[in-house]
Amino acid sequence: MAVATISHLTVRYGAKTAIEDLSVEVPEGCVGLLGPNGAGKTTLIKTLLGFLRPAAGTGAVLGLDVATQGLRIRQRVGLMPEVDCHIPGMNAVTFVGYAGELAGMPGSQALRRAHEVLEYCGLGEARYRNVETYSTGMKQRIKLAQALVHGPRLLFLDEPTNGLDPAGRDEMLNLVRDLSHGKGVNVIVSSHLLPDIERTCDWVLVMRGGKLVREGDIAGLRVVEGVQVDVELRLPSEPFEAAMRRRGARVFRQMGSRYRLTLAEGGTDPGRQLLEAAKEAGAQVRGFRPALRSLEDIFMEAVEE
Amino acid sequence: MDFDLGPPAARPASPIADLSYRGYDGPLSTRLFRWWIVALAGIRLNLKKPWFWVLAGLCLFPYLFQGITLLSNADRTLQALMGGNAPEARYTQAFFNAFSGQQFLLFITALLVGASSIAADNRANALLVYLSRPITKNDYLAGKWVGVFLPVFVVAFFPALLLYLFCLVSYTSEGFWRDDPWLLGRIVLACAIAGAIHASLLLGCSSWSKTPRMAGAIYAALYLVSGIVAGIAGSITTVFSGSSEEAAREILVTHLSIGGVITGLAQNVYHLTLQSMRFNRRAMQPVHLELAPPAFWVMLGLGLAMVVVGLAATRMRIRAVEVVRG
Amino acid sequence: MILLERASRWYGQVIGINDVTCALPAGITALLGPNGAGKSTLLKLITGQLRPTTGRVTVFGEAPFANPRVFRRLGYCPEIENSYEDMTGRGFVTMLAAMGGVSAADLHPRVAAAIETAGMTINADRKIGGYSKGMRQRIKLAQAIVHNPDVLILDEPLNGLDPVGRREISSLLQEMAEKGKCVVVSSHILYEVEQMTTNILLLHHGRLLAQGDIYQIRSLIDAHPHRVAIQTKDARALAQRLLALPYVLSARFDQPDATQVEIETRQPDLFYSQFPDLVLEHGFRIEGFDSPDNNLEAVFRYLVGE
Repeated sequence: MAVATISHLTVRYGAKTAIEDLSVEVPEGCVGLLGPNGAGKTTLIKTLLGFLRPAAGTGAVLGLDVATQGLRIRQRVGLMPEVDCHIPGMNAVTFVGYAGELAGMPGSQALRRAHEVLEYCGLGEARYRNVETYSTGMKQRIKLAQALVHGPRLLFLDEPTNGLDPAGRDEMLNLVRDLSHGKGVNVIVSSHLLPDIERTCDWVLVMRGGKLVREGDIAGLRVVEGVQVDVELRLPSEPFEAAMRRRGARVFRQMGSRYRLTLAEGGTDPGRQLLEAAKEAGAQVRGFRPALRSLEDIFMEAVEE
Repeated sequence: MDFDLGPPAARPASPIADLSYRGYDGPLSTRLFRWWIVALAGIRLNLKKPWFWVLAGLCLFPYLFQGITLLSNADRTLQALMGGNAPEARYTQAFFNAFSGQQFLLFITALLVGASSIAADNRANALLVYLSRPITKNDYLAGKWVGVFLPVFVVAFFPALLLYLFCLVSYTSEGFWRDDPWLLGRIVLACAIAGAIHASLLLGCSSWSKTPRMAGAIYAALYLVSGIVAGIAGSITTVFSGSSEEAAREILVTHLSIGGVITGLAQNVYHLTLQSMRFNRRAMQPVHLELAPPAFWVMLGLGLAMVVVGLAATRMRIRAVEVVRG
Repeated sequence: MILLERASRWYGQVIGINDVTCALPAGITALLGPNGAGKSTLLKLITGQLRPTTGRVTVFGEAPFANPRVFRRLGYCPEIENSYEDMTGRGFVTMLAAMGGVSAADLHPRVAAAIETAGMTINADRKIGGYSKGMRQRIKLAQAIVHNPDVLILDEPLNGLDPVGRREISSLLQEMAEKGKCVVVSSHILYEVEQMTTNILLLHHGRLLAQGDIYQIRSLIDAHPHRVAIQTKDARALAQRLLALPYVLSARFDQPDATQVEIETRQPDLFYSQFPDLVLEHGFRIEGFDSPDNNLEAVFRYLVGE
């Protein structure tokens, strides 16, 4: 079942067309939303939340129409915005409980739930302090907690690792991965940090200029035709390149001592070939793997078309 | 129960509990009272401020003072000294005097309660949190308004209620109830008018600022400057020649300010004619004046306009964060 | 170009940086550390906003505090997002260029060039108040490079930029480094930093934890032996052979269907020399192998230990 179905959606901001004739079916699981600045990602999220009226076309989130059932959608959807936001004058527990109450939970349930969710997001004793005293990492966790408190079926995360140090980023991505793969919450992540998306998402949507330019399952998009292998040597080695060429491979040097080899199809085991070539050339192989397009490559290709 | 989210999948029993995240499958309350949750949060926030309680205490004093005046019959003595008509609505007069006396303190209380109501939200980007919930802009607006209105109303009304009960106990025999059976209603209405006007205008100022201080400063400026301007205009045009139309116009002019509209409407609600002494320079002797309440419809019009403008201004500013163009 | 000698700075009782001695040469140096490690304090000391409480900080041989001679040759791109909202981008860059010592005659072309390099030519004449996050970042960069500084200090320079923009700015910084400038980049986004440079300066709790080339540092971290993950269908048979080698410490199977074996060794060089021979000799079919922790993120994690 698709989490969101969009059909010929057009959204305008005054004279500017932010989204043009967009049609897509967003699958369940963890979906990445990519695109250059101004591509319409934020507009799409706002439209799906029911804030913006489409000029044309239809959209449905969890089976509910975007144009008329915005309130019901927001009941089942959580948003973790990019910018800092909180309710002034409250500590974390009160804030998250308040957010729950605003979503319709009775007071006692909201408080209990707030504690549960704050625990899950990793906020310990700090939850009794005023939110305004928090560090960036804690603020990000609070934003996630307020998005989760009412048990949404779909989560929108806008730059979830914004401002976090490497440890914090790790934890946040683990949380997102756990939510989408372990707890059955559908997640849509919008981010400029492609490794974050690679780590958490299974499907991507790439937007540019208000249109969808690429969509698909990441593993599928990464597949590269032919037999291609990425090799890393200890030091760049000309003899190695020559040895590989003798075996009928095309050699393309990437950064430093990394190479991309395109081998003839139907030949012998590529690993064997390159280890033999390296031995001949006296080069030390530090690693090799079947070549995959990185998400960055996929993105660049999609955007530069 | 609203918006059923459905039950979670059944989990197999295990001796180790799974304490991590789970969906919410509990009851949900109705959507009709979401605004009350917003209001309650605002009220709780204000109750925590120590200055609020200080001001609330200070607002007791005008009524306390009137109570003492009544007890000591000081108002009758004053009346006799000034000459003029016998005091008919003695008690109503006391309540109105206390109400006017309380106005400035009430204004400060309203400032404290209302200035930060939406301005703090603007600064903290709270609107993004609010609007991503299943509540409407009207819920938010209503909740914020009530969150300012209620504290101001209670601070205005509670001392009046105390005085009313005191009078009821002490002066019923002397015609307290007979004189004006609707007095309690009038008190409620007068306090509500004050609360409504302050709440609407403050909300308007608050929603247009990013800091509570700015909002408070703007409202204070509006209140005080309008009061000063109306006062000056009043004393320039006032001649007190005696003709009743001119008198009515002069009274109206002095009431053309925020505070003036509040007290003007209150005077209309209390249905009082004020007695006052002026010194007429030409005749070189004190003149006794009777000040009728200012023109009702004008006052009502202005009051309603203030409420509507305040609310409209606020509503314009309530929207989720703008997408930057380009 | 930048030299710190036993520099310390504290705020009341809170320590900013503690007895840090380092020299930052030409090229890109990445300044890393968890939140609260002292990175912003260090940057403020270098850009002359603070004076060290003890020790010395010198840029081009002079103390940078309130020193216009240093400021002329230093470009700073801070992390803050607020700016002069009512100025246009061009006006902002022009003002800062003039403050940076660009002569009046050169002002216009230099400003235009800087704005062009930062990719803001189209939007330069709009008010900053209407800029998006990415645009603000670019205009900050423009003002940092407009007076052609020899030292460039950047705090989270790629914040808010989309992947295309990130690439552009990364290559710009690399170009500047190749021209011989000293570029200091403070960032939390390790994988990007990794692609720009291998030279790092790691701070932790205010102290200098590590400085130098990450691969060198990695090879010195004894506590965490090198891991090599090998993907092959005969994982267990291969593991048996590998365990026979004296410098292989352990073999782990994380995948349930034994398609990958992860070995640990304290002598990676020796391993890499002998591993291919072993594979070729016994005819194992290997789909791939690599070292999952020979990257900046692993080095960071091991050193900071959180």
